[in-house]
Amino acid sequence: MPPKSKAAGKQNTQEEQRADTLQAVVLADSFENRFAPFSLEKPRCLLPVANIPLIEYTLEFLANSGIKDIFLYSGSHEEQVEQYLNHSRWMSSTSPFSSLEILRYHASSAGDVLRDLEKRNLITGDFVLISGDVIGNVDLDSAITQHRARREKNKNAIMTMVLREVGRDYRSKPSSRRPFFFIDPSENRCLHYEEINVKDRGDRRFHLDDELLAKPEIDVRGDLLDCYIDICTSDVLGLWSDNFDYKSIRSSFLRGVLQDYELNGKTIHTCILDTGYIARVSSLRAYDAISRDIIDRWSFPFTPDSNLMPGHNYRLSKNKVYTEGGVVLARGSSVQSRSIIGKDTSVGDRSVVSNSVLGRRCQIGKNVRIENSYLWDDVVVGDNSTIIGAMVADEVVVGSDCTVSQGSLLSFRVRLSKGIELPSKTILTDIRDDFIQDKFSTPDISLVGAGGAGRIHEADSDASEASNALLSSTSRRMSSDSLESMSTLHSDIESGMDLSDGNHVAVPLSPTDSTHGNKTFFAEAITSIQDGVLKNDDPDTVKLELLGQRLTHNASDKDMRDAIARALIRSVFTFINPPRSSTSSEALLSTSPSTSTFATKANLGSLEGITPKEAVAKVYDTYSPILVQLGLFDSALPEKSDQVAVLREIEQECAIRREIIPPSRNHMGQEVLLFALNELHSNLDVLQDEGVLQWWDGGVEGEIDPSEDTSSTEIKIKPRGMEVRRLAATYMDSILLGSDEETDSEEDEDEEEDESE
Amino acid sequence: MSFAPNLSSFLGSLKESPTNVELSLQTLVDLFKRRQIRGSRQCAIATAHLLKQVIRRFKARDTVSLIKRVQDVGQKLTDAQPKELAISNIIRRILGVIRDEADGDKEGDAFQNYSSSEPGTPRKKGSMSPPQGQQNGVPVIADLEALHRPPLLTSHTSYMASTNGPIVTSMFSLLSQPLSDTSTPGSQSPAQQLYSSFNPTLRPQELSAEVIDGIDEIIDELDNMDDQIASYAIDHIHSNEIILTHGTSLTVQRFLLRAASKRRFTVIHAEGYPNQHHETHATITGKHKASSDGDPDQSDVQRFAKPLIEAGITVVLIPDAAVFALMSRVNKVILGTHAVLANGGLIASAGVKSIALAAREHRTPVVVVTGVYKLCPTFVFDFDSFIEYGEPGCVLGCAEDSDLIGKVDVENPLHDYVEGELVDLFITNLGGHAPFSLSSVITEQYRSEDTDLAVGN
Repeated sequence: MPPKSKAAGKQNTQEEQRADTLQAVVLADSFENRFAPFSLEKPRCLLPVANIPLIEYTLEFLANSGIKDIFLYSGSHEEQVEQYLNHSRWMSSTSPFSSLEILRYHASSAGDVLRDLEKRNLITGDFVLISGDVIGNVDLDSAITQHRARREKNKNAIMTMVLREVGRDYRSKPSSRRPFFFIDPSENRCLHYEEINVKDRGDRRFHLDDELLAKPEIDVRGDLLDCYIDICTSDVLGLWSDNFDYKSIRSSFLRGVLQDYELNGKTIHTCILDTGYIARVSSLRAYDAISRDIIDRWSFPFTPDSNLMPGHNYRLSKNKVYTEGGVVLARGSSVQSRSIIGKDTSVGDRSVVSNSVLGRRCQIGKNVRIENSYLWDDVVVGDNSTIIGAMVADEVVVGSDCTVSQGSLLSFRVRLSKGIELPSKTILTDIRDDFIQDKFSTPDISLVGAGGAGRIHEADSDASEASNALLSSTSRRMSSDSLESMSTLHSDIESGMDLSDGNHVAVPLSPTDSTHGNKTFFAEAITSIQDGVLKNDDPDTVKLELLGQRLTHNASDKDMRDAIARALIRSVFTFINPPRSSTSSEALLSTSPSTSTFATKANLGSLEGITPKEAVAKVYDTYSPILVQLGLFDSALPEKSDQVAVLREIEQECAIRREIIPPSRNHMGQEVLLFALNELHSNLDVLQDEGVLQWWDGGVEGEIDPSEDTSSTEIKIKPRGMEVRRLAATYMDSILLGSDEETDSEEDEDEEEDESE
Repeated sequence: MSFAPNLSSFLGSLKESPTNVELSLQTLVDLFKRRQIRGSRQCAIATAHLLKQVIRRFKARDTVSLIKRVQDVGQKLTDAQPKELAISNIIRRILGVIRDEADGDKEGDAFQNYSSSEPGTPRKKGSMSPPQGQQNGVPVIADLEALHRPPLLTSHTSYMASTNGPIVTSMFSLLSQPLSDTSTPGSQSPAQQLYSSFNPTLRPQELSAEVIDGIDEIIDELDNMDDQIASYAIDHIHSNEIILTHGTSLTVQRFLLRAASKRRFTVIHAEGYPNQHHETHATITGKHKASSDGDPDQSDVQRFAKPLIEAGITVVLIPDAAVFALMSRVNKVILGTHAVLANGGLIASAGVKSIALAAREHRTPVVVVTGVYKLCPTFVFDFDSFIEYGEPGCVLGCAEDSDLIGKVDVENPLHDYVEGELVDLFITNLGGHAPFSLSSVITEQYRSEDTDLAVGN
């Protein structure tokens, strides 16, 4: 029966059943950034693997295991995930799940999600914790049965990790950080856990307790593939919330619990499987390896020709070529081994496709060569082009006579005009709504040619490594040596410090952010404050939460101050320019880059926000006292660098916001700055004269981040800053008249460095 | 305890929520796609139960829309797993039931009885004559009786089923219809045409009840099929013979077990590595690893309880590769199959073809035991499209051979196509058939309208 009526009508029985049925918590966000630039526009769990969105595999896996109750944390691009799932079979009346609930919560680590889950009291019994990128056909039955039997006997057996035994060179195994499990074979209990960085030739020792060595028998296993599938009792959640600093599942939680064994007596066990396929699409390299595994049918029955997605009708023909109906292959063309071709894709005369995945509705011209590549939907490739070892996202156009070589990543809607030769490892994106990176908003003509679209994506080290690896693994005939050296990848999911895919924590990649020592804190604090403000929370509540976060991240006063200032000013803008559907939870989303265009576009038509003045008053009246109450300003010091910093934050944000608000209102940044200044200085007395004056004299904040010192940034931001200050100048004049004779000249661009701290 | 859904959990869910047909349909489609219900028998049982529910819940009572509905559902099921031909066979038979009912008993009903009343005189071994030849024993009397009975004699057939009578052919005859009659003149008696006009045509309301009765009979037939087939065992297996078999077919196991009750012989069992060897070992030793999870349901009678060795039979386990070496000593090859195509060709588990070829080389007779539901009216030239490819993980372990992965191509076909010429005798629940007479059995099973069920395209 449809889950809805069940939820309504059978609440009681469902509660009863829950104790017996298994629940699952899916972490669809990985809290890392490995799939950039693709994940900037589309959440990683919706990226197609062998033409099926990644999340489908995980949900299939759960359905396959007979799990009925799913909680899914979607993380970045929440709205896209939600929209997708709402229209998928998982939410329909014929879904195999009795409920699939999407958790709306902004978290920056797995720990946050689980702590939130505990607060909500949704988990009633045992549950399976799984990440949203698992592809596998293993049988969980034995693991679950073992787990239950153990728990019957011993309440302290709180968790069973499902591990798969694999060999050393298993291709879909992440290989730079290799986990080692110390297992007591008599009860399959995990005694100790360590990760060794294989590449690090230095310290490769384990650090073991004496007690561990006193055991009569220990298995040390380094040959296990850990896909982060854990069967947990509900006690696990309690442990997470007791230890608010736990972030990641393995390096903090697992190690923490193992270390506290003497104290708590909680034990964690392992279930080592030796059949079935399991893998995590944790990086682009894994994406490549797993796509090949799927084509080679390791994941059977999760292969294209099983047509698990409604509407798919792939058939397998010789040499592992999977084609869907409606594929047009011109007579002279050939699809060689191991390829997948989606519906309505056409391949022109004399074109050759091998070892590649082509999405739906692609148009491949004549005499094209595509090897070891992944083309998603609606890709157009012109005649005589060559694509080798590349990933090409939706709606990319590659003109005729182009060459896209090894390791290139072309993100959504990139266009290459005629005759372009892309060097290998070129990463192009055409993300338009990224208001911060406006220096890139024009296409890089030298690369994509006249009429093209796209520009170099500034890859952080992660992504470049990823493409490196894609490069190496698509060439794919690697010796095991090269595998060791190339596969730089395994996860720093454990580090937990990365911003997640697509910056869902509402912190755009602004240059300023990198100056804040504690990125995670900054991101979290801003989110929580904004959340509080938008929901009109009591300032005390907001304060309390902030203090908690401060403790967690060991943030400095400066971090706190900057975060509060930034969050408040952002809330002001949110009030002025509310997103299209302004429920409080979605309002937050409007700050994430992908939706901001929506918000702006919508507001072009309907200016439904309140005026800058009202907004400023609304936000600052209530919340700015927090700054004072927390004792963040040291008024005794003559140098008011703290107050200056706050104003800087506001100023920057105003300058940035200019870019995304409608042209008709491009004075808004100036207005907001003026009103904020007025409010903080005159009305609320948060800031003192000296502070304001020092800020004003400090000049326009051109560049703060030394790493971002490309000349273009400097040039762009400075004039913008000037403009923002235009209105404020009148206000300053009034102060200056009353105070001493410091001139308000604006020639002091040179001084900007020495004022910044 | 099993968490993963399977056939018995599906049947359980059918009982629990009999009203939500769409959910059940989707569940079954998912189970087919995920291969959690696999194998001809399981697929057939699941399909029959689902269609029963579909028809029971179907509101409109005219046959045209009912047929349409069953075809739609059938299309979804066959699309989900086009390689399990038993699914479409069951759908065809159910469509046949509906059509027969709809045809208003112009000829069908009266004739139903005499064939089923045929006493189960075991056929002579190697009898190549079509089974219909024997069915003209006492037709007229039965027909006269039938005039006063309800069109479908469910009580009668259930009696037959419960006593495990050797031949329950009521379904067989139920589905007979004019077209097939012309091809099997033996079963068409003048009396039948004579009396047919006396039968009252069905009113629409009765239609679904009648059809459901018909489906129940099909389900009964599926449940009792192995026993019926096994009843021929004594005729085909003689003392001190050496029998070679392959795989884990329950039909074969029951067949051999029945023979073992009377005879002493030796079984050579090829293990079917890599996809079946675990199960084969379990079948031989009787220690079903799976016995903990697949709790034997009422309808799930297929669980094979007693291994041959307990019946005192010597069983020799060999790898598939040794088949040819041992074939010279083998008296008879008895094989199960996945499906039988219209030309007598088999879709059988991988390894069967090499056995069949080795047998041909040594002139060893090959006997295929199969339920009639595996006989398909279709024939294709592209046999590859019916062959499912499994996971290479069975062939190449990830743990020990990991250095090979990605460097070699691994193919793991689950099925073989075996040409009909390599088979000497088919034994179905209707009796023994020579390969050339198979087409007549098939035409009697299905109505020609349903042959093209868009199978395989």
